[in-house]
Amino acid sequence: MLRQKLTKDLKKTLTVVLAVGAVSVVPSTGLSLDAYGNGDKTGVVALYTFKEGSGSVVHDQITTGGALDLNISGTSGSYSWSSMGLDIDSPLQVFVQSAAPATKVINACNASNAMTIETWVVPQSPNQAFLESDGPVRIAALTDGVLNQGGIYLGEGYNAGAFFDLGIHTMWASKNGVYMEQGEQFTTDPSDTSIVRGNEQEHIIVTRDSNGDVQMYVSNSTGAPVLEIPFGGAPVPNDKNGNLKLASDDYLTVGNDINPGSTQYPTVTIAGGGPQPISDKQFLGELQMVAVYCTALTKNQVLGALAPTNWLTSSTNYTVNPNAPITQAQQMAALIYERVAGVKLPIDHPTILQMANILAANPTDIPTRMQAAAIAASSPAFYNITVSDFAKPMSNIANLTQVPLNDFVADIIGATRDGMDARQMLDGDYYYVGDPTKTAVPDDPIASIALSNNHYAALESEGYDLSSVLLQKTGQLFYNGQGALVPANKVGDAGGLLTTRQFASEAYSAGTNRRAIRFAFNSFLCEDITQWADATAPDGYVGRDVDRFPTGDHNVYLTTCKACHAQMDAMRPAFAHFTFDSNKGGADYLQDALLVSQETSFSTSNGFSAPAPAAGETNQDALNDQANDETNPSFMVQSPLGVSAKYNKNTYVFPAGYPVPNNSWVNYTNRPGTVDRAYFGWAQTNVQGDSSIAGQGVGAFAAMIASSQAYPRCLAQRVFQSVCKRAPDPNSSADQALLTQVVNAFTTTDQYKLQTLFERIAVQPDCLGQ
Amino acid sequence: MKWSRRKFRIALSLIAVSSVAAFLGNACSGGFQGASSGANSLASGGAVMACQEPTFQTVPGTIAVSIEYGNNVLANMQSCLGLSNTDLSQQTLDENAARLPSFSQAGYVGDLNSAMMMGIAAVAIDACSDLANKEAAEAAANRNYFTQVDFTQSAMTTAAIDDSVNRLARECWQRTPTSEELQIIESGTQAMGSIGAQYQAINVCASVLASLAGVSNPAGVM
Repeated sequence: MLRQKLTKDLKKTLTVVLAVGAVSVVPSTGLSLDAYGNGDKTGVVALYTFKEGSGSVVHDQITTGGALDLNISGTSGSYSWSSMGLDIDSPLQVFVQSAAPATKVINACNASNAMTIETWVVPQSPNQAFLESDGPVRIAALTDGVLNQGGIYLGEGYNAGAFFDLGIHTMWASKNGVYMEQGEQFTTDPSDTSIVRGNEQEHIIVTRDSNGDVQMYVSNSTGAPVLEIPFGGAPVPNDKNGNLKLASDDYLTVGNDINPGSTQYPTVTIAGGGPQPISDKQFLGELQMVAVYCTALTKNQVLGALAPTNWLTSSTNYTVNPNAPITQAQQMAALIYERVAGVKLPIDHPTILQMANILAANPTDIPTRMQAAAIAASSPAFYNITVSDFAKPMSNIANLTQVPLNDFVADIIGATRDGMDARQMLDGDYYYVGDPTKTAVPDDPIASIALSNNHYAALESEGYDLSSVLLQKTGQLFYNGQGALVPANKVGDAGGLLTTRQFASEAYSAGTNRRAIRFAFNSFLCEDITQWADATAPDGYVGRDVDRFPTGDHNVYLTTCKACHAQMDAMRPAFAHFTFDSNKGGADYLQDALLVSQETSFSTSNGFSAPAPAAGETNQDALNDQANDETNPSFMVQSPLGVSAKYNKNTYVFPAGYPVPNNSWVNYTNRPGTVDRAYFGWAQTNVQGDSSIAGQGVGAFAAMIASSQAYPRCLAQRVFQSVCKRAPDPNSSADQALLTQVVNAFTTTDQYKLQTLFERIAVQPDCLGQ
Repeated sequence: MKWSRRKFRIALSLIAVSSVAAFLGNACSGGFQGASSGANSLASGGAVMACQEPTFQTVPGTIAVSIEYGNNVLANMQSCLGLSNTDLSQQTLDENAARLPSFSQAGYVGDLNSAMMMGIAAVAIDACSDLANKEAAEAAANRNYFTQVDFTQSAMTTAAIDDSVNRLARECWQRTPTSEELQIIESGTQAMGSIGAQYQAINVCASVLASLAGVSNPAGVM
C-alpha cells in the first residue's frame, strides 16, 4: 500500500515537473497564466494558486474589489498540501468555498456578459465522475445551488468516456418577456481518451463570450494548448440572445458543489443558506491554479502563435483607384487569379497588378500566362480553396465538394504544395497532419486521426492555412484495435490514398469491398464500372455470393451480372485485409486483418445472433454472414485468417464460386483488342500469359493505377473542370486535343506536378474563353 | 438594438433582392440552365446572361460561367472587400453557416435559385455591415469603399452613393458599372429614406455583392 502511494506520488511529481518544464516551451499565449498564476492578469477578477502549503484558507491573489478567500472544510486526512497545490484524496469529505457570495465576480461578469475560467489541475483519474453519482465533478464553480437561479461550472464528467465540461445556467427572455432558465452543457469529446488523462497536469481554459459562444482549450501531453471541439450545448436561437446571469447568492467553490434538499450527504454551513448537504461531485486530484476572468479570452490570446492565421486576405493593403482605366491585362490577370485561386481579388490589388504587368508584355503567350498563373497558385487560397475543392469530390462516393477536410484531401493538398510526383499520392507511403508547432487542434494520433476525422475537420473549421500548416509524415499508420498504431508497411499494406481513413470509410465499410474497386476507378481513372464492364471477361474470380441463376435464368447472369462481377471480383482481393464499420462504437477505423486480432468470441454481447447456417453452409459461413454486425471494436471477423469475413459470406448462393483466400488479385481489363485496354493504358508489368495483370495487395494495385495512362488524363480532366468551370467536352476535338497536350506536358516536362497542371490548364484559350 | 437591427435586416434584404431582380433583366423565367453562358469574358461589360439549353455543350470562343458556391460565397466577399478574419463578426459567420445549405455545391450556374440568392443577400448584408464598421472607424482618406460617406449623417449624398458603387463594382465585379446599374442602386438606396448613412452604405455594398455580377465567375459577366 505504502509502495503504491509512493509510486503514485512519484509519478505525479515527475509528471508535474515534466509538465511544468513543458510550460516554458509553450509559445506565447497572450493572457493565459502558468500553474503559479504568473502572467498577464488583465481581466482576472479572482485568482487562486493553492501554494499556501498549510492551513485551511486559499487566498485570492486579486485584491481589487476585496479578496475573495476560500475556506476549506474537511475531515482530517481528506486533503493535503503539496508544493504545487491542494490535493483532495477522499470523496464527500472536502468543501472549499468563499466565505461570502462572490459579489465582485457576479457583478463584473454579469456586466460584461462574458467569462473565462482557467485552471491547472492534476485529475486523479480520467474516470472519477463515472464513480460518483451526481454527474460531473466540480473543478471550479459559481454554484447556483441555493437559489438555483444561474451559475456556471467547469467540471470533469463521464459518458461512455471522460470529458471536461462547462455547465452554464443562463437567464434568457422568452417571447413574452418572461425570464426563464436555460441550462447548457458543453463537453470535450468523450471518445477522445487523450483529453482527460489522469495523473497528469492539465491546463484547461473555457471561455463564454457575450454572444453565448463557448470555446474550450485543454493542454495536450506536451503542455501545448489544444482548441477542443465543444460537443453538445449547441446554442439554440433563444440562447444566443440570452445573458450570463449569475445569481446574487452564488458562492465560488472549487473541488465540489452543494446539493440542496438532499439528506444523503454530509452538510456544510452556507452563509445565508444554512446547512446544506454537499454533492457527490468531489473532484479528486490536485488543484494547482484557478483564475476567473470576466472577459472571454480570444483564440489569439489563448493560442498565441498557434492561432489560425489570416490566410484569405493576407494583404489588405491596396488602394482603390476609381478613375484609372481597367486594362485588358488587369482583367485577364483577375480572371486567371479567380480561376486558379478560387476567389476574386480586388482589381487594384498589388498581386493583380503584378500579374497584369507580366501579361501585358505578351498576353497570348502561354508560358507568359503560366508565369502569371504561378503567382496566383502561390497564394494560400489556391491550396485552401481550389486544390481542396478539386480533391474533395474524389474523396467521397457521392462526389460532393462541401464535405469536411479529411486525410485524403490533406494528402493531395500537401503533395501539391510540396511539388510531389502525383503518382506518389497512390504508391507513396506518407500522410499529412497539422504541424503541432503551428496548430492547436485535437491531434492525438489514435483518437483524433485513426479513430475519427476530428483532427482534419478542426484544421479546416478553425480556418488554418493548409498551405503552411500541413506537415508530411513518412509511413502510414494503422490502428490495431488494442491501443497501438502500427506502420502499414509492416504488413505491406500501405496504399497511398487508398489506405487513408477517408477512403476506407467510403469504400471498406460494410458490403463486400467491391465498392472499393468502383470508387478507385471513378476517382483516379474517371471511368465508372458501367463503362468498363465486359461480359467477355473470364469469371473464375466471381464470388460465392453472386447468383449464377438470377430469376432462374443463367443467361441473365451471363449477359448482365457477369460483365461487372468478372472484372471487379478479380480485383477486389487487393483489399482483402480491410474493413471499416462506422456502425460499431469505437471501431471507426481502417481494420487490417493482419493487425487486428481475429474475433473468436461469437457471443450475442459482441453482436452475433445464434448462427443459423443456410443449406450448404458451415457455422463459420453463417458467422461470416454476420460480420458486419459484430460490435466489438477491438477484434475483426476473419475467414480465413487474414481475410476480412465479408469476402466469404453468403456462400450458400453459389458454393462453387471463388473463395477469396488471400490478397492476390487479377486485372482482366488488359486483354488485347478491348476498349478497356486502350482506355486505361496499363503499364505492361506483371502481365500474365492471358494478358491479365496480376498483383498482390493494395500497394501493387495502387501502383498499377498510378502508372496507367488513364490516371494523369483523369487528373487533367478533373483539373480542367476545377479551373475552367466545365467538364471537358468528349465530343469536342479541341478539348480532347488540349487534354492530350497538357497530359503530355504533365507526364514529361512537368514531372507529374499537380500545381503546374493547374497553371497550365487555367491559362489555355479554351479555358479563358478566347 | 438587436430587435431594430433585425427589422432593418429584413428591409435591406428586400431592397438588395429587388436590385438583384433588376439585374436579372431579361433572364429566363425558368431559371438559368447550363454552364456555358456564351458571354465573352474580357469584352463583356454589361449584365447579359444568355438563355441556354440545360446542356454542357461547348461553344468555341466562349467562356464557361459558374457561380460562387459553398463557403466560397463568404470567402469571395471577404476577399474582394479586403476583410480579414478578425474583421468578420460572429453574426456574419453564423449567418453564413445558417445559409450554407441553400448554396450551390459546386458552382454550376444551373444551381442558382431564389433561396440561394436570398441567402447570398443575407450574408452580403452582414459582410457589408462589417465593412461599414471597419471603414467608419477610419479616416475617410484611408478608406477603400466609403471615402465620401459621412457616417454621422442620416443619409448618403448622391455623389457618395455613386462613388461607393463605382469602387465596389470595380473591385468585386472587376469592371465599371453601367449607368443603368448605377441608377438602380442609387434609387434603391435613396428610397430607404434617412435611416442613417451607415445603413445606406450597407445597402450599396450588399446590392453589389448580392447581384448576379457579384456572384458570377468570371466576375461581372452576368
